[in-house]
Amino acid sequence: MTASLLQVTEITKQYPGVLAASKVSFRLDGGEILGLVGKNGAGKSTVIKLLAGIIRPDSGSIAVEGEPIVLANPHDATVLGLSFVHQEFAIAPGLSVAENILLGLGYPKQTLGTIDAKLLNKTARLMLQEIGLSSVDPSSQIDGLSIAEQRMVMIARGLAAKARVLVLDEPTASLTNSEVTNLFRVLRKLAELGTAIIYVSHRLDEIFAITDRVVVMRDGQVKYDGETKKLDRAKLIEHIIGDASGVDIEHRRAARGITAAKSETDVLTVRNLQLNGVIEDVSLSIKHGEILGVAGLVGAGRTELARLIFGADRRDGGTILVNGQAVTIISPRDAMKAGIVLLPEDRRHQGLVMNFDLRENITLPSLDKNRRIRWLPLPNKSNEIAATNVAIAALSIKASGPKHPIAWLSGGNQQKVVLGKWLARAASVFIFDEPTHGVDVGTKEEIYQLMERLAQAGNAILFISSEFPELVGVCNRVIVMTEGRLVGNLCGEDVTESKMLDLCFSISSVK
Amino acid sequence: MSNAASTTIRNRGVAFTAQFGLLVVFGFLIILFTTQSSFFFTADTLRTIINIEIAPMLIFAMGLTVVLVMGDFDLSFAATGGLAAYTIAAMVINHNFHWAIGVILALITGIAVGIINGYLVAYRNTSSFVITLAMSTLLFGFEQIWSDQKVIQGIENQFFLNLNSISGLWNIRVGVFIAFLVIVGTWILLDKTELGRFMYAVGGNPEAARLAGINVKRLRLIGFVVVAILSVLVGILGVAQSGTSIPRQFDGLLLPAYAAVFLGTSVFKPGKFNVGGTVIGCLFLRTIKVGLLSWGLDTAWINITQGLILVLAVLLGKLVQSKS
Repeated sequence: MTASLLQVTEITKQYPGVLAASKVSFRLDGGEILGLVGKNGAGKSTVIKLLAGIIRPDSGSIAVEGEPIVLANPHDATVLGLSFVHQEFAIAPGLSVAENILLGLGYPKQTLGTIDAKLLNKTARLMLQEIGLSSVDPSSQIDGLSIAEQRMVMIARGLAAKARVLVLDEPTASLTNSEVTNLFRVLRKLAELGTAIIYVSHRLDEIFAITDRVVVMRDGQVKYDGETKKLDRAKLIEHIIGDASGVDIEHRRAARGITAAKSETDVLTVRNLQLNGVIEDVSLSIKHGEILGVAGLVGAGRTELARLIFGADRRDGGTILVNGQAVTIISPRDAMKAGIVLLPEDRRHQGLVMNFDLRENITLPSLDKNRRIRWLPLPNKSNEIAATNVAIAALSIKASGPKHPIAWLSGGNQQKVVLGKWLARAASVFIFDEPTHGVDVGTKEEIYQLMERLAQAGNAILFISSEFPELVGVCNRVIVMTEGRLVGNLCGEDVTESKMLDLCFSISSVK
Repeated sequence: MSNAASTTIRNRGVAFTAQFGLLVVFGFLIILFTTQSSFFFTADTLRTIINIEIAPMLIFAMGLTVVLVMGDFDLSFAATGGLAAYTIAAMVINHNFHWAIGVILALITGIAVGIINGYLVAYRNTSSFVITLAMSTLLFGFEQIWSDQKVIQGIENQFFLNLNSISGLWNIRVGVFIAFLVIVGTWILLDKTELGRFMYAVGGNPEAARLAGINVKRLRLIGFVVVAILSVLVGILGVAQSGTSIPRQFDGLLLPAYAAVFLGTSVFKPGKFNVGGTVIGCLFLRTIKVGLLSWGLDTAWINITQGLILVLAVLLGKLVQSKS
């Protein structure tokens, strides 16, 4: 029997209070696409970080082609042909696309040791063509590219590094359908050439579409390892959550009996909102107890819309009314006073203070609610701890307690902390921007139920998502945006994925 | 199992070193100085440590801690303090005004400096490093023209001089007690109030702080005003101590104040600027200076020692952070 390209044997990694990986073993052969799935905190990220040499295992071994290896730092991994596109990948801003692709891999040199820009761009152009990104100029600045394009550039980097193992963590986040199709085409081609691929994703459709084999992790352990085609969706979900209670999102709408909102009075009314060149004359309203979905492709202006309503950016025109009263919103502070809160899309950079602990993050927007004496702006630690414990319990945040450092939490748990920040505040309008991005199946359902509870309490919810099935499964009504405009308003039986897609492409196809 | 237990013990050791390592070294140094030099651990030496330099350094360092917590630098505080001292002396001696007029004028100038720094940095989004360096240069230039680089001396108002005289309490200067009040005030601000928590949040992630409803710009501006007001206080105490203003009086404290604040990030709250750490940093640097002087070493060696200690402390802090 020949040795596998990559063999992981019984690796264990213990963090204080959390067993992140417990005797994890799996193998990977050349040309194979392996799906790595599991809930947030199941240990996927830990396994990836171990492979990348970012952290070191407490015990266990990793072998490449039968040779045991030690990964002491990310450089070791690169040298061995392991290449990574992390979920929150790092580009080097200010450098060109070509310079990013070949960063650290050795730039071509001229006789005097200066960089041979021509050859550099030529090499990079080949890589870009390989991944179907020939429209991008390798000499252009990488900052100018969209997130999706930047992600593809990172994959081109893997190509340039002649990676034997390519690891992709949530690679399709913020990619459009055609970009996903293109990505899959590239991955299959790479696999045919003998590259082994580890594909980490919460989007189960993609796991079925692209992978040959699936490894399911739960509670730091491998719970399933087998061929993808032997599984169906329900079975896979069962492996991920550990029981069969997971509701399939596509049937959720019918199962829950979601209809149009009952109330007739508006909580939030937005009239003629304008941000020149980005948002064009958007008007909308959300009733008591209503969950309004916002569908659209990347770049349609959904996040910008949310930020304008929340006062995170200054609008060029338009009025905002809460409960029929016009409100002045020129800063997030004003929006909070008016009862509007926003869960931002980018939790690491906009939602959390990474050097704060759990308690300090949760109570940041509601410190005034945790005073000992109401008129004295002195936070009371025991009140704060109590509030934090309430949030930990209400959202089932997996942490050792209020003092848990935020950086040690998994992605999904970090997202819950961002949610928890706002629950303590008395708000009437909740804007959720991609709340389930990078979040596992079980946590997704928890977030949906949280939104439903908030709606039932009479609040208005604005729910932005790129995953249309979840809009179908959760929203009373869905509006569709394209190029900064509203192009559709779907209620009742019209709330379907195909109708949303239709509307998304309607304007572009007319042009 | 024993492996896990030893890991826990090691983690505790790392945590202890991170929080109290500098204190242990501090204690060790005091013992060393005491045993090696007969007159170190005497009331006189202690008074020297406390009475000279420590009050201005502590007050400067407190202001500095507030801006550094929010991720901003201020390089203009020594110049602001110097100009305040000169303003008071000039008003009293050259223009025959009441000293209180001088103090009010110095305060107005100081607050204006803080507002201009804060406005340019926070509201115009410029680099605090460059802006406050420019402000510092500008203020020194202004002081040079105004003072013609001459010392002003001879303030005789006893009430004013009493603001920083040797007090009846253990012969300690009044300024030291004022510095103590400033320390307590800064500690309450940063550790006990909402404002302080917001300031740490701004330093940790300004965008997340803004989206949590915090007025980031105003907070940063407040930081610069706090530094400026405390600098004026140092200026007042400086003139009151001797009735004299010397051009560029506090230049020599600019870098030691920074050293003390950064040294402080290796105690109590590893990796974070904190009031307790800053106090220890100031006392530590001061003790080393007096201790080495008592050994008869000259200032060059004191500088070298202090520089090395700062590097080691910051390195230790980093090392401990990555371990835990």
